[in-house]
Amino acid sequence: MLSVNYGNFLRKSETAKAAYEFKRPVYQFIANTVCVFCLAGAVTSGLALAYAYMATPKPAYSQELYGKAQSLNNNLSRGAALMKQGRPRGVNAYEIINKFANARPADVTLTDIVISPDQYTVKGFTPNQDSVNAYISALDFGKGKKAGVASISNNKGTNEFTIIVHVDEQKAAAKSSPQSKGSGK
Amino acid sequence: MSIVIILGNNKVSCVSLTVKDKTVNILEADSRHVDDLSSFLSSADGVKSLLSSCFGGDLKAAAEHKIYFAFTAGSGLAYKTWQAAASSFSDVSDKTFADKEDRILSLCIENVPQGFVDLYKDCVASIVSCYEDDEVYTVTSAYLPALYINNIKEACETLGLTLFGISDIASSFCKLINCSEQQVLVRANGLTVIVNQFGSLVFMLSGDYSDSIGDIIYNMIEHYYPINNSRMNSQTVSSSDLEPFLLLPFNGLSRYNCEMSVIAAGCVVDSKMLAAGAGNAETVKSNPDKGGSENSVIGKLRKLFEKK
Repeated sequence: MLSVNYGNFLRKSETAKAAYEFKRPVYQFIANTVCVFCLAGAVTSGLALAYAYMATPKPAYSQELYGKAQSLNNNLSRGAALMKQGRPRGVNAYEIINKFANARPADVTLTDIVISPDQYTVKGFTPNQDSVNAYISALDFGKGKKAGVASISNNKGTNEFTIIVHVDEQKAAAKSSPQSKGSGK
Repeated sequence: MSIVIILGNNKVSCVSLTVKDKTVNILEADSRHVDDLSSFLSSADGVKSLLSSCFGGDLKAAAEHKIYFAFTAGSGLAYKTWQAAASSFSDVSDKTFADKEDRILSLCIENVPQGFVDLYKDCVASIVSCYEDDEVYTVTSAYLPALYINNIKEACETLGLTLFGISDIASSFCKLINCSEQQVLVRANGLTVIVNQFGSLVFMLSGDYSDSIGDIIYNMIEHYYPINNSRMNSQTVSSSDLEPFLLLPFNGLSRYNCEMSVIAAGCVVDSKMLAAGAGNAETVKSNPDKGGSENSVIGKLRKLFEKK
């Protein structure tokens, strides 16, 4: 087979060009459709992004309240830092508060914590008396520091209690023996 | 739809047809007499006016269709069968298809019929058929004045028409006539075309066909092609009775001129389609146990792998 356009006075390139020209509207239509599709996709994506950006609600808050909260946060952070570092009379108040807070059962509410070199006193209330026992058992300050219930009273179904942790066991025994109830301060 | 404008001996025919599912559908055919065809073809304006008259002035509608031109006897067409060494058809320096095409067509121009260049200064060649032997190639080529071709191209370009091809009567016959079992000698107005399994021969005969002319033709066939006693295995047919010899079925052939319809179909039908059809038929015939029609998935896959 010779490399010619058999039975045609036009060259192969000319017939190929004619075929292309004849189908060009179809090619153009396909190309335009693809372009329009891509363009529409890009525009839609852009609009969706713009809408998402515009529709995000801006935070509404009072500048005064924000300032107060910020100063409170700063004070707390500073206080916590001071507490962490401070050791008045060799007492690590931060660690003691942490232990009181962590050992607390869920239904126990603490109202007062007093820390002194000799003893730590915690006051609180709970609807369930067993929770006081559970709280006592959970309090572990290490060797030589024993926790005990100083007082417990029932007031309209609420058990108010005072727990004292004696730092020196001998002193604690001496102090606690004459009275079964006490404020512990 | 394709429109084929057939240019003959002072006659212009316009055939509209479609080729679908390997069937040629002739939709419309119309012929008109033109006093001096060569004067029309000698200028681009002349071709334009010819096209305008063919399409009834509605050139916009024509621009949506594929346009073909076909030349028949008496329109400036000439044929020649010639031989050349196989080595002259190719060269290592030919890198592209266009290089190879140039080389082959320049060989055709070297073999232009005597007297043709006297009538027309430049000519354009086209190959109708080629029989490739080990050493020698036998080529039948068609020639047309370059002026006609250039004017047709220019007119079509100016009018916005898509020109798909400029063909000739013998190429159409070669393409569509089934000559696998016998040689077919087609007698058309002004010429005789012989189509066989190897190639073709064309004789421009203005007079009546006679036995002595037949002897010359058969001797020529035996000279160019490896056929002995060609007269015995030959069928002579008029161009108006070609239907039994056609490779493709035609719809509407009975309503229109057979020769015109076949020429028009030969321009439009893709030779690859005919080759594919023949290949598939052969495959199914030779491998009946393998099954699978040409349209089945298996058939298509087999065709794909056979190609590779």
